[in-house]
Amino acid sequence: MERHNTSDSHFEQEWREAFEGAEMPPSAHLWKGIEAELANNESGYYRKRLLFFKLMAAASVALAMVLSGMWIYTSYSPMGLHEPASTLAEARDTSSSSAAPSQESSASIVDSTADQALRTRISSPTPSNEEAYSGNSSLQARIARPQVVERLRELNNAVQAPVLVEPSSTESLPYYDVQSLVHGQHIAHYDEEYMEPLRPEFAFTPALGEVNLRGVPLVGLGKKRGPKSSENLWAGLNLASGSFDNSISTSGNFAPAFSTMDASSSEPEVSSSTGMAFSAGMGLGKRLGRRFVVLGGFQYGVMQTTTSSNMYLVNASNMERQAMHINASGDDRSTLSFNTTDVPFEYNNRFEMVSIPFQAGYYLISGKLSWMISAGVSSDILLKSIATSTDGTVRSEQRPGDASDWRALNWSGLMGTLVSYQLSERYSLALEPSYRMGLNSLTDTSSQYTSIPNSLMVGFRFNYILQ
Amino acid sequence: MTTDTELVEGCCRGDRKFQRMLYEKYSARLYMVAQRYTKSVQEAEDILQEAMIKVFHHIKSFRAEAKLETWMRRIVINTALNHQRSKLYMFPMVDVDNLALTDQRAISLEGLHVQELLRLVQSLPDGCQVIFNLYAIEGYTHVEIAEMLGISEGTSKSQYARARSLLQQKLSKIDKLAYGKA
Repeated sequence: MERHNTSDSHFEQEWREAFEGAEMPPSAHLWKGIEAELANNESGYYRKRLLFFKLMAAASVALAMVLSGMWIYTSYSPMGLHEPASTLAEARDTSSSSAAPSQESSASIVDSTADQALRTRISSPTPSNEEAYSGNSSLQARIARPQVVERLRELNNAVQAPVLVEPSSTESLPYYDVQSLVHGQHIAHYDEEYMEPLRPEFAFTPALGEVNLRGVPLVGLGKKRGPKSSENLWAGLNLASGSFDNSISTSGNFAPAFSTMDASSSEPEVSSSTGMAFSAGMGLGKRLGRRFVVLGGFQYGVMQTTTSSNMYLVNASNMERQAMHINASGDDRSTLSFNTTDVPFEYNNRFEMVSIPFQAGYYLISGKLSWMISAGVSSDILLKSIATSTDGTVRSEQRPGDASDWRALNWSGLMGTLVSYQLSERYSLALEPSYRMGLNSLTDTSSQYTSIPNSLMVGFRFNYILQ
Repeated sequence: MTTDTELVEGCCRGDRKFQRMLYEKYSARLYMVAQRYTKSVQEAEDILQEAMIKVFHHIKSFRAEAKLETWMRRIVINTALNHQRSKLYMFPMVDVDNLALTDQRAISLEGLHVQELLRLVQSLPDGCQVIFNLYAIEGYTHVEIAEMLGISEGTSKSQYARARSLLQQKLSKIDKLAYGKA
């Protein structure tokens, strides 16, 4: 701003002088308003961080919904109900093997070709069915078509009017085989419309073709079998992110370490702010009882935080100043003098580690939707620490070892909860907030620093149920 | 006594104690500035509060090339102008060439308390008030004012002329009253 020439008027000059240094105290409550707004802005910073966790949770729920939708879509075709091929094949094998002795000699054995024909129309065979049968002479020899049709009609009637009938002395299949077969193939729904889309594996296996369904309890035959409500053994992938604080502090006793120390230096101070952490890994879970589980696995984690320090070093040879950070402990200190400054500077700390957690869990709710609380310990192997000044001029990478302050093996306590939803018989998705607290300092005992990290993470894991 | 440098450093660290000290040191002067640009106590306090928040947020960008008070004062003025801009958008300033400048004789402000002067300034129409403050008290040129407020230089000059005329009329009345009392 350039002041205009005041020679234009005595008028302006007078006004300017009148207000020069003029004061009027504002009301006493104004500072409270300012203080409240400052506090609100500071909490806004944390609210932004919280938003990240909310977005993570929303993403997890969205993923769960997508996976659920995919599962529902693949489970329910537009025309009928599909079971996994393996289930049907198992059912067929079971039926075949158990019924084999009596089936082989029977003229009522139906092979897959006949099944194919039968699928097209069962209750009232059409000319195409006739062709299907008549076109296969070997089949004709083995199949008594009217018998098969009769059996199916019988079955159809039984499904429509589920009544328990007297067992027949000619039954050749054990009860459970028939039931599993009927369940697996959703006989209760079969009619022209539903039979059409069924796969060859389905249909009427020799066992079904021959079996006398008398005595089979038909109650609930039409009910679709849902996924198992419990997981006994599972393996999964997990991703998590959250806040991280390495809680660094210093003893301030740097005097013996450096060639000189500025006598006028103020007290060395170091502090860290809350940073971010990400982890990815694999997990295993084993149910030990109805409620108890053990959890294990391994995780790779990257943690980052900003550290503020008032310490700096001066190189005696070239008088260059450099930031004093924890990784600088490996420097040749004989040429460095130690100083502190009134205006602290900041640098970024990045840690990479592999964790092997072991936890015990307890199911508060166990079912398709489960809720578990867990606690345990984790052995954390520090891979490396990277310190970078915020202006990018200093970068120091250090691995645990003799020349560094870092410990290779560290321990953490774990505490968390897990809400999981079983998407299908084999898959489940879980949302997993957890808290990790360091049980020892990441630095060794000879270091002038102490760093006991903690983190609050929110993650989700996708499990494959092995048993 | 804490120096400005120490106050700035403390505020840079976000230390509430230093923020309070900075506020207590300068709030009275800055409040007077805010009052000159507004018409009510409440409005002035709103501007001061908003300006102080800006000061604390941006104090890391403060360079010692300018005086701390000058820097803070400019923040208060800019905040006040932002408030005024919304008013000026609703009631844009126009040239006021055909003013009847009835009383052009110079009247001294001597003997008038700053509170009275403040009331006179606050009694001016919005546009006149802003331009009078910027030109007569802050010392900006009409070109600068025109740029700051997005108006023409001519409008700034005419509005200032009007402000000056109105103030002189009011001062004249006060003057006459004073003589009358005497």
